[in-house]
Amino acid sequence: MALFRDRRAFPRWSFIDSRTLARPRRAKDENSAQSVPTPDEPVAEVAAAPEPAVEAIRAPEPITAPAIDVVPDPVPVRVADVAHVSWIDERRAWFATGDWPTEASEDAVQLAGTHPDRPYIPPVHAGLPADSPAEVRARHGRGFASLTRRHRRRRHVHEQVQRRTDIDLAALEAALDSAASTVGDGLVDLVVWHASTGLELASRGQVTPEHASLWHGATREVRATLPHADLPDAASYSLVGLADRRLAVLLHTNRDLGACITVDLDLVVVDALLTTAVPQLNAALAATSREY
Amino acid sequence: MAAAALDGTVEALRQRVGDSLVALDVWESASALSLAGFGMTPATGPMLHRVTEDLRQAARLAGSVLDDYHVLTVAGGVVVVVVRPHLSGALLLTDDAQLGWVLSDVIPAVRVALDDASA
Repeated sequence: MALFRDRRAFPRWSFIDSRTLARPRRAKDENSAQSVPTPDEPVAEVAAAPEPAVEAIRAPEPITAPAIDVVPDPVPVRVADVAHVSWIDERRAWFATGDWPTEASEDAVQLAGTHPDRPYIPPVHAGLPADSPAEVRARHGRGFASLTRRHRRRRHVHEQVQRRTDIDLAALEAALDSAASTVGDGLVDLVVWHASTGLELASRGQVTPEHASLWHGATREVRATLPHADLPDAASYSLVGLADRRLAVLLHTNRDLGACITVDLDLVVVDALLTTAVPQLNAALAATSREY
Repeated sequence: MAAAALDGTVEALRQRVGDSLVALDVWESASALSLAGFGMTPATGPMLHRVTEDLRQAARLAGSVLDDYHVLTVAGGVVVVVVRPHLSGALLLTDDAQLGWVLSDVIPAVRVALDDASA
């Protein structure tokens, strides 16, 4: 069974047995109903094939090779011309005439507004319409309430609303430039990543492509582990001591952005870094992402 | 290592850090088994040990080498983790602790104390 649109009349959908559909002539199977006429296929009346004429064999004559007459191909004698129905052209022609109904007919109202078994009992209260709601709806339509009312879709319990954020990459680059100028020569590298995916958005210094995703993963692990350690939730940044007197500051700016700034402790004063440069960078990064 | 030595280390760190110290935990670096401390639950040592390993792996894959400390800022305080070859320690400080003082004074003192306790 297949679902097809019946193009012979008003658009409606009907189930059509797929065995009755037109199929290539060579693709016949035993399931195809030969006797069932295909509605869309031109009907061809095939002339009856002539009987192969075989002459009677006379006994006294020598037997020669039997003469086999070639059966001629069936030639269609007459093809019934079925006009191609274009539903769109038909509707266009109908619309051009301008006689389409603009209001429900009485028959349609009675058909839609009355129940065959349960007649409508009008209310006894004064001021209320005597017509049944179904009749009113059939006569005047449903109105436009369903189009103007804002539908609030009930979301599934476990469904998470997809956040849509816009990150200003130009402002991001400007924030990195500002941070680099604030830190000065002590800056080793600086990388900003997308907090959901860990993809690098901008960087300064010698940063490998996996740099952002690695620190992003470590930051997530730290933040996820702290509650299990019976410690308070993580704040905005963490300090990781690295070899060669380097310090990595892992920033958790907001839900959208994270960053890692690596400095040389021989050239940078930690208090100045954490009281000036890091808060400025954090605020500048937070200003670049906007939820819309 | 003697439990009395560990208790002496904890008390020395408490006096060194002062009122900023809220909690302290010392665990074995190999097994993350908590050995001494106060104010922290038994889950703190193993979880911070795991955090350290995560940071160490991230630093290694990023082309760096993790030093023996990291500092986590948490809501209302600071967690200082120092990892030494035999013993590791974590200190929970109040949020008024200056991180420059932590890096320059507290962490070296913890290093020395942990090394002395494991000797």
